[in-house]
Parts: sequence; structure tokens; C-alpha cells
Amino acid sequence: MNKEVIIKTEKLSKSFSVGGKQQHVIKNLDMEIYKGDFTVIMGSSGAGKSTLLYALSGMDKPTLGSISYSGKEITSMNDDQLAVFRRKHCGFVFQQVHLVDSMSIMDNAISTGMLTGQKQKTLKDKACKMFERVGLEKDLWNKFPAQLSGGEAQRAAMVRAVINDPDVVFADEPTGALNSAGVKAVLDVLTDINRTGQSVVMVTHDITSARRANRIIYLRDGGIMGECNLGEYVSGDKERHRKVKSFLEEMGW
Amino acid sequence: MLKLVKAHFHKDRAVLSAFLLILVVAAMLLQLGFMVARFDSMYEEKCDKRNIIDSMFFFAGDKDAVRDTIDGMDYIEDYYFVDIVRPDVVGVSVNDIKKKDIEGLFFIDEEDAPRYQDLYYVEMDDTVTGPRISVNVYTAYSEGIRVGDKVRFTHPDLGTYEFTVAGIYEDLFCGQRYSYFSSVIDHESYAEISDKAAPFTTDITKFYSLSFLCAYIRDGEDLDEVTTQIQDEIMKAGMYCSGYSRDLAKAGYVGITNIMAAFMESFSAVIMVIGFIMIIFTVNTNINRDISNIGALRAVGFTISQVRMSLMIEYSLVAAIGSAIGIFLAYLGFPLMEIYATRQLSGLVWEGGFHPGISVPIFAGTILVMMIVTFLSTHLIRNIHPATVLRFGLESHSFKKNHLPLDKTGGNLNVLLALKNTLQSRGQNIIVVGVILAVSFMTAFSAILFYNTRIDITNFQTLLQGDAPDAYVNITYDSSETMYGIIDTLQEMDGVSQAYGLSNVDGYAGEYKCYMLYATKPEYLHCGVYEGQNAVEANEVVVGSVLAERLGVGIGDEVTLKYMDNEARFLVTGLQQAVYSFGERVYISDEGFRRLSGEPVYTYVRVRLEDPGESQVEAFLKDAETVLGDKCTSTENYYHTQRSNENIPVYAVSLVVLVLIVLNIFTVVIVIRLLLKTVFIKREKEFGIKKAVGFTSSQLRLQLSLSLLPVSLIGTVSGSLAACLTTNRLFDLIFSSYGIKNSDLLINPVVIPVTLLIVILMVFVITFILSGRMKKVSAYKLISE
Repeated sequence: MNKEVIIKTEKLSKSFSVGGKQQHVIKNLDMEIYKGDFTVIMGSSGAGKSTLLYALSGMDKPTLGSISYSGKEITSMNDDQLAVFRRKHCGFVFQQVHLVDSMSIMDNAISTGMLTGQKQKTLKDKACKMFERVGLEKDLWNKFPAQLSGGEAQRAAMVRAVINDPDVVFADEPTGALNSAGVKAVLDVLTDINRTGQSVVMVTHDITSARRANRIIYLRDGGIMGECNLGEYVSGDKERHRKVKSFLEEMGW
Repeated sequence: MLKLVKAHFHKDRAVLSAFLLILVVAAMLLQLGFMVARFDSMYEEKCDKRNIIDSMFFFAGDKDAVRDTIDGMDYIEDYYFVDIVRPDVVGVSVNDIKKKDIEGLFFIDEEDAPRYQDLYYVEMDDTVTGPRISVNVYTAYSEGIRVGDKVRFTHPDLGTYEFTVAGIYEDLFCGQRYSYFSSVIDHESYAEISDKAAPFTTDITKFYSLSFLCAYIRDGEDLDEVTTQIQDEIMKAGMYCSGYSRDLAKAGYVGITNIMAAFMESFSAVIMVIGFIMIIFTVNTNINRDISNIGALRAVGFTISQVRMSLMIEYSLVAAIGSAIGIFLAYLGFPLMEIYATRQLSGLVWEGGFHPGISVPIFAGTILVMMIVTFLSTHLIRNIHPATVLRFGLESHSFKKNHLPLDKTGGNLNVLLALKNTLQSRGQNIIVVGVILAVSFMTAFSAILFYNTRIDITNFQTLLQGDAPDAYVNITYDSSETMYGIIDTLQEMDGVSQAYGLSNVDGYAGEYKCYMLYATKPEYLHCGVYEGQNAVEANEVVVGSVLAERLGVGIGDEVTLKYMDNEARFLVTGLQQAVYSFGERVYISDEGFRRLSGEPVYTYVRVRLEDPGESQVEAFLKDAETVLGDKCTSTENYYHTQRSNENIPVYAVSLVVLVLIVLNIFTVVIVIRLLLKTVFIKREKEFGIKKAVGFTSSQLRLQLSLSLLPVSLIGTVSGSLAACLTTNRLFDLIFSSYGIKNSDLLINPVVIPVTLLIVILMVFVITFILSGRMKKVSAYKLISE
């Protein structure tokens, strides 16, 4: 089956200067992300997972190489063009949640929505539905992020991530700071999002989270070491778990 | 610990360098202020060192008669006489360039000079021979006289004399703006002038040949009181006598320098306060930023005290370096300030060298205050638990209300988010308003001073020196009729609004010695009446503020004035203020003076024009010279003089104000930059998040600027308004001891919009420049930093 490529990188490299020395985090990486996929990026610490995720989403610029989105080059875009690109096509979920702490979670969602010119009334209705969808009760909607638990805040961040119906939701270790109940809730929401046709690209260290993907890319030293294709996620699929475990063992994880 | 301090230094270097600059400016101003203020005690030290007399009396008469008069006064420990020649007004040319006439210059015989005073020569050229003169520091620096110059003096009765300037010396009694000015001339020239002066000494208006009685008074005596008593006794013996004490002389030497010092110290204090407020804000912000690091340090075993101590050391080092540099720069710059300002103002020569009594307290005080401020600022982490902060950070904000909820409030997104931020950041708003208020106050205060010392100096001039006309016409006095005739003639001339005579004698109000000023038209005087009105009738008097306090009189009360042996009761119609003579003066009409059996004598006429201007006054003076012919000895375009650097007090204060304005702008820029940088650091993560979800840099810059606008506006309007409302009151407070009771500096309301424009523009420009970083740094970096 030929899948539609939504993001494509060519000879992508990213270096950082640390103490006057260049560190090459991503090296000549060629890869494709497919539309509607739940792609997980894994790898050991320092493999360049988060760096790759932020480069793919246009939040950080690569040092060399190109990234195209639905065939359109984004590496040549300036700062403001990238911001407009992100607001239209990308949603973000971070490990540390990163909601604006001076705004209620409703305002966090609506302000992001207003960026694409949607009406406040429409956005409010949309946000309410999404809050319900991610299991956040009504009395929490006008609370500040600091007044919520980690899991609740992360689910609120997911509402913000999808308020503009992005093509791709980027998640950087979204379950890293959560308890097991929180992890499940967040992963369920991401799976749910993916099932509506939106692509998800997630960086994780967690094998439980990785099982949700239908494709796992394993990075080492800034390059792709291997990848594993899985079918559609079904809860309680033990074979899937074994396959993921075996792949990761093969990668030396 | 040292490594920790070093790490903090590295991380906060940008902010610390800004604090360093603020402290450098503040410490430099404070050091300069204290150095200038030290002229006060330095004068006393110099007097003690050079065994300067306590009281000095000019008298015309027989020395033996004076000796007989004072012999019974046991409070006079010692005394001596020195002869002088004192022409009332002399025309002066330096190197053939005509200068303004000098009133009050007197000559001492070179051979008598060592007896007159232990003069300290700043410069001396022993090779000068022939007619030579040495002048005091004040006269030299205010008239631009240097050693080697040719100086020519012209006097209608005494003739013309030309001297080569051989030396410049510091005179501790007669070398300042409010006294007579000494000069020392060679013996031959002195003998010649003295011979010419002798015949005139029978005429009270031409007491050219005089003697000094120089007296040492017993310790513990009230010098002013004793001086008055001696003067009274000499006058009772039938001799003209005018005396003044060392205390009064000192007030003349250090009056203006004390004003300058007060300006500098006040500015420095405001800058210090702003700096320390900013430090509290910055330390708090940095603690929030670095809380996980602090938690990690706690986790590995650092105690709270060690963490707090590392921050205190970091900021105290900045305080030490900043104050040391500031103090060093003050020492470096002071010689210039001395030559261009303080010598002309005080007539005193600064005694160079390091002054630990000034510098050490500034240095130690700055460090101490910094330690206290840093200690108080770090209270946030006093009960910090490592596990808590590592997991959850520091709960430094507790938002209680969701202002302008976006699901209920319509409007532009950027404006709404900016306003939301403003309403949510109460603590930050207080700091921003406080800092902007302080810088706006400083800016508006500087603008008001600039306006009063550069643009329209009328009221400042009055405050410093009393009545100031547009022109002086110096006239020959031969009879009362001729004198009044000249005044009438001038009054009748085209364009003349007011022509009047104003003279002064020494007199008494009650038992207090005072300057008694009488005028042909007292109602014309702009002499700083702050309550009531000018004296018009023959029985009316305006009393100086200090004198009124001493006498315990107010408007409507009666006071006894005394001139020579004659006294009369006068009704107080007004209270007057001016730094000159320190509020110890009275104004009466010349009819009033006649009530005291005085005979009014005016050797110059003061003129105000209907439409004054430099060229108009110049044209008028030419006409006046033509009309009066040889009755006019000289003229002065005082409209020009007041606004030029010849008007030393106003000019010097305006120079200081200019320097303060430059330092103010410099400080304001640094403070606003620092403030915005801190605000930016505080909100950096928020900007990163917003940028990640799709806000453009331009939108974020706009939001930042707009969010600061309301508080900046409140701060600026309040600060400039406060400056407009309090500048005069602050003047009263600072200068009350100089006789200022109700300052009326011109407060142009334009100051408020101008300050608003300057400060808001700076806030916007600096916000825009600083927030430019948002464009350069990726959203990823902003979040992860």
C-alpha cells in the first residue's frame, strides 16, 4: 500500500555548538513521515530524538538539509512564516506540558485557535467538546494549569494541540512526567486523535507508549538505525508487545 | 562556594553589568556630592590651619579711636589693623577686553598682605615686576583672569591703573561672591591709589580709604552677635563701620556648592533606590528561573545559607566593583569640576588627595545595603525543600482570577492577551510602576531644572539672587536732584517699563543685623516675595524669611528698623526669600529710609524694558548713554549677563543640571533595559510556548509592548505629575536653611507630555530592541532555556 508522505527530510543535519565545539546531533538523515500514521521515535539518550521532532515541526531550524511538508519546503521559511505554518498544520504536546500558566486552560486553547482566525464562539464550543472528549470535567475548564494534576494538565495541552485540527500532532515524551493512570489517559487521547485521521509523531522512552504506534523509528548517533512497522493498535495485543520488545532489543535498547 | 558564585556571575553577566553601571553612576554622583558638600567643613579646617580671624570690620576713621572703643571688650582675644583702598565700582579690562564692572573690589598693599591674612597662593609668578596685582581665586576664575594677564582698572575719581597679574590666591574672608573681593597690589601702586583716595574719605558715598579691624573672638561666643556688638560700638563712636563674621563669610563661600551637593546627592539617592528595587525584582526572577538548579544544589548538600550567601556574594561583589569604579571616576573627574565650577562658585581651592571619610562609607555602605537587599530578596528560598522544587518548581505565583476570559471577552487577540497579562501580573506591575515612576520623576525633575536654568531663568535667578533687572545704568552721583532726575529721564525713555534705584546699607531689624535695601519704587522689585506684597508706603517693610523667623514676625506685625542711631517702626507687608544674604534682609522704600534719617544714594539705575531681549536692551543702553552723556559712567546688558556664563551661580547650577540630565538619561536607559530584560526573562518560557503554538515574533513583541503600556503610562504620568507638584516643595526642604521658604520655580505643564513621550518612547524602543531576541531564538530554545 502506498502511503501519502506528509513530511520528508533530505540530508537533514543539526549541530550545536557546545563550549566552542560542534556537536552533530542529526547527521544526513533521510526519512519520511506518512499521513495518518502514529509514528514513534525512540532511541537512547542523546540520539537526537527531540532535536529531530522539533526540526520536523518547524520549531527549530536544521543546520543543513531540507524538510518538506506535503511537498512544500519549510526550511527556507523565515521565523514568522514558520509560526504561521505551525499554527495551521501542527499541534504540540510536551513532557513538561508547557501551558501558559497565566491563562486558564480554556484560554490556552481558545487563544491558539484565535490565531487561525476562528470565531471565539466557535472555538469555545469546540474546546468544550474536546475537554469532554479528553475527560476533563467542566469545573476544571477555567482553572489555571497550576491548579490541575499533571495528567489533567497534559490532557488540557492536548486540547490546545488539536484545537486547530492540525495535520500532525507532535508529542515530545508526553507521558514522561505522569503516573500510570495519567499515561493511559494521554495515550488513549493520542490514539483517539490518530484514529480521526490526524498524524501523530511522538518521541518516547516508554515501551508502553511505543506500542500505540503503527511505526517505530529507532535513532542512534543522529541517524536511523532501524524501524519497525506495526499494525493498527488494539488494546491487549500481546503479540504487538512482543514484537516491539524484540525490535527494541535488536536495536540494543 | 566560590565555584557557585563564579557560575552565577557567568549566567547573570548581562544583568550584573547593567547593575554595575547603575551603581557606578550612583556612587560617582554620591562621591561628587559629598566632595562638594565637604567644602563646608573644609572651609573651617582651612581657617583653623591658617589661623583666620573670626570677625572683620571695614571702618573709616581713626585707629586709636577704634582701639579705645574695643579695648574693654573681653571677648576680643586679639586684633590687628590693615589699610585698604576700596573703590565702590571699577571698570575692568583684561588683556584690553572690557569686562563687566566689578563692585566691591579692594586693594591691599603687597607689604601689608602677610598681616592681612595667611594667603594661600594657587599660582605665583615671582618674576613679574612693576605694577603687579594678585587676585583671589573667585575673582580670577569668575572674570577669566590668569597669571601674566594685563588687567586695567578704571575709576572716575581714582583714575586708571594697569597691572600684570602676578598671582592667584585663596582668600578665606574676602574671596567669594557675597563679600568684597580682595586684591594685592605692589607697594608703589598702592601708595599712588591711596594718595588719590584719601581726599574723598570724608564723603560717606566715597569711603575709598578704609581700614580693616581683624579680630579673634574668644571660643564659645556667638560670632554674629559679638560682631554686631563691636560694629555698634564703633558706629556709636561716630565712625562708618561694616562688619561681618566668619560664619557669615562661610555661608557665602559654601552656599551655592551646598546647593550643588544637594542636587547630586538627591539624584544619587534616587538612582540607588531604583537600582535596589530592580535588584529585588531581578533576584526574585532569577530564583524562579534557576529554581531547579537551586533544588539540585540543595539535594547534593548545599545549605540554604550557602545558596543565599552565594547570591549575596555575587551581588555584593558587583556593589563593591561598581562603587569602587564610581568613586575612582569621581576622583578622576573632580579636578575638572573644580576648575570649571566650584572655584568660581566657592572661591575655595579643593585640597586634593584621597578622602577616606567620604569614600570608605560610600564603598562600605553600598556593599552593606546590597547585602541587606539581596538577603531580603532571597527570602523566597528560605524554606525551600529540594524534592518539592525539583518536582514542582517554586509556586511563586498564585493566580486567583482569570481576567478577561477569552470565551467571554471579544476583541483583538494581541490586545486581549496583553491586557490579560497586565491584569494578572500584580507584583510585576507594582515594580514596573515603581521603577517607571522613579525614572519619570527624575526625568521631569531634570526637565524642570533645565527649563529654569536654561530656558526661562527669571524665577531661579530671583530665588538665588533677588531682584534682577534687564539693564544697569551706572551714574555719577553729585546730588540727590540730579540722581532722581536721571531715574526720571530713564523712565521716560521709549520701551522702558520700569526704572528704579536700589541700594543697600547695613542696618538692624529689632536686635538683628541685616541688609537694608531701599528702592525708589519698591513695587517694581522682583525680590522673591512669597507671602504678602512689596512695601510701597514709607512705613512698610518686606522682611527676609530667616530674619522674620528670628524676629517672630509675620504680615501685619510691626518691626523696629534701625540705621546708624535712628530707628522707626515699620509694618510688615511681605515676606521675602532668596539664597543671597540668606534671608537676612529687609526692603523698604527710599521714603522709609528717610524715616531712619538715611539719605538715599543710587550709583546705578535698574531698568526693565517692556519687551526685553538682548538686542533691545543693547539698543536701549546705547540710547541711554547718548541721552545721559557724562552722567552715565557705564552700562550693563544684564539681560545678556543673566543668560550667559557670566552669571556664575545660575550658569554653574545649569552645568550641573546638564550633567545630571545626561546621567539621568543614561540611568533611565539602563534601568528600563534592565527592567524589560528581567520581565523578558520572567516571561521567556511563555513566549517560547506561544511561539511554538504559532504566535509570530511580531505578535509577541506587540503583546509585550502593549502589556507594559498601561503600567508604564501610570508610572510616567504619576512620576512626572509628582515632579511637577513636589519640585518646589523639595527645593524648600533642601534649601530652607538658605532662606528659601516657598520656591516658585516655573513648572511648565509641557513637562508632563514631554516626560511621557520620552519615557514611553524609551520603553517602546528598548522593548522592541530587546524582544528582537525572540526573532533570533527558536521556539525550541525559548522553551528549553
